Amino acid sequence: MELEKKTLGEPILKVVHLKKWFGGKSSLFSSKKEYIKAVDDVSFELNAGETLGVVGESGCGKSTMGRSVLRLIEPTAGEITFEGKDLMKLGGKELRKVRSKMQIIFQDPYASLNPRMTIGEVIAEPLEIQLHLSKEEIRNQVLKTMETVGLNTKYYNRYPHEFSGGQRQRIGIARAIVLQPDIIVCDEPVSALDVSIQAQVINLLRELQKKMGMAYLFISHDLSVIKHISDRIIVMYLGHIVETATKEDLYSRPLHPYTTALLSAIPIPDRKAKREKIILEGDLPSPADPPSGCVFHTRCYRAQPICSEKKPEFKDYGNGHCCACHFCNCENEEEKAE
Amino acid sequence: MKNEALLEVKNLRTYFHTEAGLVKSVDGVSFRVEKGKTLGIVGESGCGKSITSLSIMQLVETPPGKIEGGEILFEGENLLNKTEDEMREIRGKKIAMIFQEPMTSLNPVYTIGKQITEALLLHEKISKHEAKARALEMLKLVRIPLPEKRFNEYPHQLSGGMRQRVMIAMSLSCNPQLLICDEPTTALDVTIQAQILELINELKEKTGSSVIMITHDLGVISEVADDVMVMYAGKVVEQASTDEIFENPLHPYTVGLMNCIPKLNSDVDTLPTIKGMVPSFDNMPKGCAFCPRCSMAKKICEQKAPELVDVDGRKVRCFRYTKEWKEEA
Amino acid sequence: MKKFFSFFNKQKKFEEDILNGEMEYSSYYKDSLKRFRRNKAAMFCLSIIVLLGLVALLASIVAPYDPSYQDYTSVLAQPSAKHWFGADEYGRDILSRIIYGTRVSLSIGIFAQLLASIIGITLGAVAGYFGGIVDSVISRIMEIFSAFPDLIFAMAIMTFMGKGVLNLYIALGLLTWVRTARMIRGAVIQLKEKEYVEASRASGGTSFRIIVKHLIPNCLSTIIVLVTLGIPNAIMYEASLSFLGLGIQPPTPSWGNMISAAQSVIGFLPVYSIMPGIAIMITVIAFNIFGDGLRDALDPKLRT
Repeated sequence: MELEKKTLGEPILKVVHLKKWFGGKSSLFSSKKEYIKAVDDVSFELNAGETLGVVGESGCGKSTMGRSVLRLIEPTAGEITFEGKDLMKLGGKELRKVRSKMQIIFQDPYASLNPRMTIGEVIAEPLEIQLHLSKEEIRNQVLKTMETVGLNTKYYNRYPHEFSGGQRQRIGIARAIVLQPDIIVCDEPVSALDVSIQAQVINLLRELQKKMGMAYLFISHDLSVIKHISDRIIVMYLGHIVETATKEDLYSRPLHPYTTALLSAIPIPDRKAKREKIILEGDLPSPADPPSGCVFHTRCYRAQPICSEKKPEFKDYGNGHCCACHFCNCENEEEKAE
Repeated sequence: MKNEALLEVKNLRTYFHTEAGLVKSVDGVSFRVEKGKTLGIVGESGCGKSITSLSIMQLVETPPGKIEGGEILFEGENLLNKTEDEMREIRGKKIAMIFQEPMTSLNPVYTIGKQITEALLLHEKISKHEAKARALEMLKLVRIPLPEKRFNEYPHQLSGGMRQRVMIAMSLSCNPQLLICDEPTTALDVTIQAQILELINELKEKTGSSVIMITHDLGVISEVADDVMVMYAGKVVEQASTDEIFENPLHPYTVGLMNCIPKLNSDVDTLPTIKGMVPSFDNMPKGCAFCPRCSMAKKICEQKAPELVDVDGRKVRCFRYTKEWKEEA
Repeated sequence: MKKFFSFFNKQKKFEEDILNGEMEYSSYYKDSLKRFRRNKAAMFCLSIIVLLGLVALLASIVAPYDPSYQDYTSVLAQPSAKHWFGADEYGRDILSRIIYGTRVSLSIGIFAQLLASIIGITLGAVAGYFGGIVDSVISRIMEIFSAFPDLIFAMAIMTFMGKGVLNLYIALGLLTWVRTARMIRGAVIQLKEKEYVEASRASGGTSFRIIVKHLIPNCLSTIIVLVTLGIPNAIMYEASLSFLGLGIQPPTPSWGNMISAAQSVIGFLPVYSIMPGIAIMITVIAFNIFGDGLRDALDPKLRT
């Protein structure tokens, strides 16, 4: 099995102005069409072999974005360039072929495995679809993959419901890596697992990345997990990217007030680390009726009149650290003053 | 000098008689909750932490579940000797409970106002008018914006965080002495979780009630709990004050749990893990239940089940702190 | 030929693996069987169905007389040692005719339901999976089919196509597919949202593959219930149609046309109509209870 070594750091996936709007039915009383803007104008690049973390609260559109990138959900607009091809322009047959290079791992280890298929059949499916191999070859490949993800090969003929959540997640991972893809979208892969199992699965994912060199688009709401696994991080709020930075930059020097609040809100299992908490008021606004100007201004503790009027620009503050906020510089100046 | 105990559970055993065999969900659990304090119960799914709380409320489904023995002393009275009618009087009024998913505990066909007033009218002798005033007051207390408007809304019109606030308002409406929270923030986002935890802490101080906080998240425990009890496979493995347990965890399982969470303030390449997984009930090890996953296990751990031992005023269920351990070494 | 042998080798290797404990076979079917065996009522009904099947197959051996042999000496004879259930207006043995009727009833139940399942599952799954215009068109067709009262619809088809056993299969199949299609459509609409369907799509799976490999197997319990409840349903329709003279034509015996013929002599020879009635009842109940038991046994979610 020969591994095609991709040079690290080269972008293999480029997403430009991706949009996914749901609905579009005109409501009963107005002729204006109402859209739920789950993902609204998102652009980013994913480099070969890196892990790009996507963090945000439920309803921020991170899962929709992950699925739109694979065209599992048809995006409303935008460009997705993968290996020089625009995915949005591919027809059914070509798209199916490209999919061998892009896989997905799901959150729910129970819903993501067909209960009527044995473990062997589940993992073999991508091989059956994409490659023309004999039954024997497929079986060998499956057994090898099972070993790679730490599943006992004697479970080949067992059904998914006989397994615990952690093992099921391993089965899901095996299915995703069996074709040796270049990109795996990991949609909250450890959120449904117990803490002690969570660590095992995270370690497995990192180990596989080292061994096989694929890039992860790692979606999670858990900032600690994201920090552990990612190289770079995207913070999303209400369908928009509010901040991107390398892991180190983001956690040591968050620019956006939302990121700052998120970081301060995580309960840390350490009694001594008493931190000043920023508790955000209120709930996430409805994506069908997003706030004017900066989408975050309704909950922002730094909001000024301009925030509700003008949409902040997404600016680079050095070292690829980008942020969309009118006042994110303020914090830096404060820091300098201190 | 110990404070007065509001709730004292002694040697509680709740078993489930299933088709596949006997499941000892809660096996000899003892703990006390002092007045005005918060006890945190930590453990992974299936460790029996939720069944413990359901046993206190006597809401364990019978059959297949059954409280086989032990005592649950609430204000000095054994709840296990109460009749179903007496229990109904206690539930909601003296002991209230908040669940993980507020949607399942709220009735979708009634307005939230009606549901809170119903609970009040059931337990207290007040007029409808007074009940409504109290309900509005409670909604204000849990900081629901525009309580008058929310009063007439249905659960599905609220967000998850709002629903959890309504649940808290509902459970606190009769001024219970004990509030049991079963993973109250697990289904919520971090920023909302921070709001709810702050609210629970604040209300506890205001009303002076005690709280049992059940969670799998050690972070949550460190934020709210005064004392911690760690459970594994139906048994208590460690009991201590929150400060002590985070300072110096004694049981290998507690240590493992703390290590395997990715930390914000430190960077490691590989996370330390606890190998294997929780044993299934029909495959319980003969000795210590944690033994197959323990990195420090010795021969004795395989042969004998350890007892809960006292170490500097703390309790640990591990041979490392007994004479036998030193003898084997 | 070589391929054939290599298959055997593979099979052998598989078995060796299992014997060496390297591979564990799933206990899925074994467990299902175990659970089914525990269900006494369903087991009893299964044995009745097997018995009915045997009777149908071996009718010529089991039956004491030829069903069309007319014994003029015993026209409308009461039950006796010679004719256990009596004899009909032509002196034919009623017991023998009921036994031969089993053949007709069972085959109608099975073939009509087979046809209904093939049409229903295909159209239902296609409508549910693709949705949109495809769904609308199929749903409208289903509505047209179900708009007519059942029996009148069947009568219309029979009159249009002419009498005959084959036409009866088709008529009853066309009558009952809508129910199957509706249930499958509903189940598929739910199932297609599952993540394993998405996973298959993410691997490049075609719609055909997803429907055949993921959706239909997961409708299995629905299909089993539909089929086992559909068989007695078809038997009832056959009886009704035969009773009205549009089903199986005499002299071929069917339970329905026997009851129909017995009508005129019901006061004089009640056994003549009661016995075929009981036969219908037993068959219908047996299939119903068997179907319920099978569904419970096969549903992996009920496993402990």
